[in-house]
Amino acid sequence: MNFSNKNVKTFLFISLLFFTLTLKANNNLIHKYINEEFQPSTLNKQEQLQELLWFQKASQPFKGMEIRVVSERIGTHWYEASVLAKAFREITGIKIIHEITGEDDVIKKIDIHLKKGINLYDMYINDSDLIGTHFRSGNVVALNEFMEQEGKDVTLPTLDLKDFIGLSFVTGPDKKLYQLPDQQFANLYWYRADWFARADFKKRFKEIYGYELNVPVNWSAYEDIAEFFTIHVHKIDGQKVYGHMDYGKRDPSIGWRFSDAWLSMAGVGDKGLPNGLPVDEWGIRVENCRPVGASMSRGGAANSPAAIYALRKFNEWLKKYAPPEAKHMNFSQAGSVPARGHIAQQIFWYTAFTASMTKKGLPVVNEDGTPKWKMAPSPHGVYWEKGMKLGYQDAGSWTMLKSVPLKRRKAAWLYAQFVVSKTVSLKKTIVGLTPIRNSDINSNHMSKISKNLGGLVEFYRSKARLLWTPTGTNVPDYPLLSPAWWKTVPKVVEEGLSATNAMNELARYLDEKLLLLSKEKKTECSPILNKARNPSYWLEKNGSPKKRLIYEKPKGITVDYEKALEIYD
Amino acid sequence: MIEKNKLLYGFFLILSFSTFMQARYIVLNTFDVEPYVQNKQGLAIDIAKVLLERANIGYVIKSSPQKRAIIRTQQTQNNSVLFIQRSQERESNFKWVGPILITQTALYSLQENKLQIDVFKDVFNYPLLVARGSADEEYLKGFDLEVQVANNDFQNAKKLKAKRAQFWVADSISASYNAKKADVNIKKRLTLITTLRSLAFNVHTSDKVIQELNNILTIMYKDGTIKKILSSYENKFESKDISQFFE
Repeated sequence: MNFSNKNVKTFLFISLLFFTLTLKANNNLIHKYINEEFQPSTLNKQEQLQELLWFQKASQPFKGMEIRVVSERIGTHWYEASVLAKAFREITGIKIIHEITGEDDVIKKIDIHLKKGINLYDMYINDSDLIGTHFRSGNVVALNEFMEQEGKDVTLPTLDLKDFIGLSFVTGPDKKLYQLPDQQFANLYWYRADWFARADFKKRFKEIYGYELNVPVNWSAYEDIAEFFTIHVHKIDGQKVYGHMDYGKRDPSIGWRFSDAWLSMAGVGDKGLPNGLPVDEWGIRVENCRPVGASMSRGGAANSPAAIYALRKFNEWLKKYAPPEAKHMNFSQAGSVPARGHIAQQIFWYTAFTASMTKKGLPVVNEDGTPKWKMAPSPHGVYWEKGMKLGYQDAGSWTMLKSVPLKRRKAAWLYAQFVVSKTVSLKKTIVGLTPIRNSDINSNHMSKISKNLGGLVEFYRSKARLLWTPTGTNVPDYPLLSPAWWKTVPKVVEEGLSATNAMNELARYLDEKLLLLSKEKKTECSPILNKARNPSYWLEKNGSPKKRLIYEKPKGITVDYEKALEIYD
Repeated sequence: MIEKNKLLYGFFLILSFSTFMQARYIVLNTFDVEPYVQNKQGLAIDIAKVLLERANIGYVIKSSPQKRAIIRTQQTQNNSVLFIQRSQERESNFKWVGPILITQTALYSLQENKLQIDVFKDVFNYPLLVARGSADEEYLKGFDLEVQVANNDFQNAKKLKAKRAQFWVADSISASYNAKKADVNIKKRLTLITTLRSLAFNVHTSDKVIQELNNILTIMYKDGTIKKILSSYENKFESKDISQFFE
């Protein structure tokens, strides 16, 4: 083919023009997102532009690919799937299929991926409760290594890992980072601050119980307040009210109540953060990193007096002080009940519900949009001691599996970083109220909106936050062991099995599964059961399992809301 | 006395045999969902047959409406139902062997439809066609969306062809099979959700049997058996959405 000079010049001119126009269109698109969607941000607009241009450039080799990820169904992930995935595609050219499903389904899918070797997704947003599973499996990519080695060219220079508040949850005992937090929420105490402030209720409570109606610090106070509203107050403005809310239906979600934090609130495990060592809040003992048993006979605490106390109180409160229908409800059904306006307090309330509980028009929201309720640190059981974890924090975190081809992993990693980048993170936090970065929590914007969030910002800025942690590394196979909880607890609620028998059954179940795991793949941290001994051998030692206390209901303690966070400093 | 002992021994043998048979024999309840199960045949049946034969478990296939198949399995020992989506709501009602098959629910339109669809939210203002009683209907209900429900996906394919709605939500195999049957050109616009379809057993089934079947199923995935069965249907429907999981 013979091109004249003129033709070549025309061709070059058209190419340059096309390139310039494309560049301009791209920049316009990025500016549109910065101005219209990604505000407010802790970055200034120039810094946001730099980040987005980096994503655009780093994504070039993956343009046109379709990447599959999955996460649980909460507001934060819905924002990612419907807004951020679209923005990412328009900016980078990588199409994202961000599936939204139940957390239970996410766990089953990652389990199948790992155990059956089927590449279902390119990355998962999987709760960090599986950290014990992941670091032992050998099939999960250590992200700190990935970022330094094969993923270096696709790792955002301004990712700023130190800014993430939940890194200790996703780090294995080998100090490797196995996941990257995407969203976090805690289970806290929820109460009707307007009712608690009423002078008539305060006076009556003090007459009956001898101390102030206020935020309960221990389970005794929680129980007294529950009784006060359900039995003594009984009705407010003609409506029956209850001093407690929970759920008890046989369903995997009843297991979450227990595996998440119930035993830690009671004080079952040992001291240690993010999880007790050597015995954690599931009652599983580890020696070095090896799980050695859950039953007291093997040094665990799943059937210890503290664990039995925890289950007994759960059942007692549900039946005595919650609405009668609560025992037939599951997590989803029970979640919206406090918003109806007839619940005085709830000991275990997920902050992920904050957005849905602050909607105008709800009976629990004032006309000016401020909530009538507040959240505060949960009260603790009689076995709890300073230095122990006190509650649960869900940390849905990006998880990369080794079996996924490297090119797909790299493209997925770009999307993962995009949805946690500082460019979008503050806006995402405002939409979903599930903060992951210190910079967002301490931003001016969060200060401005805090009065409408019922104490969420104050909690996340306090040191109390450190006591709210996910399931830890003592649990060697979360999908295998977690059914123990929902298979056992409902027997107490529905069939009248005693708490002692139920926790014995639970401990046996956990031990059997640990034994099963000990026979499978043997690694440095895989379980080896201790030989069974008389439980008194362990009860005589310091720490967990702890001896039964004669008085399991000491005097109730309450404090002003302002002091409720300070006592954990 | 000897006669009495013989009698007892015989009785014991019969009892042991029947107990053994009970453990190694199941009723496989099915309901018609083309092309997975139709008249006791189809892709899901083929997978279940290989699984049970490898486990040396005898079976009889019983076909009935979906609801009856599920309830019978819940209420009767040694019964199972093929194949249902394992969900949190159903978890405690059965013991599970799976996934028998992994399917992908997606959003479809006519080939000529030019609307820009990037994320699920883009179609929230459009009515969506979906099959009654399917896992897909459940999924859409969760988003409180406007749906047009038909008795099966063949009817939905015909409705799409007649432009009664712009979008149809179905799993990829069912969509491809029914679109072919209805002679309509469809285009996949967006994958919505990957679903795990399982063989669900009565809750009194022994854990050992369930464990054994799950182990065999794992081997069937790893040794290529599932992929081979899937490819034997490739002239009937498009299965690349499913086979991608094995790459």
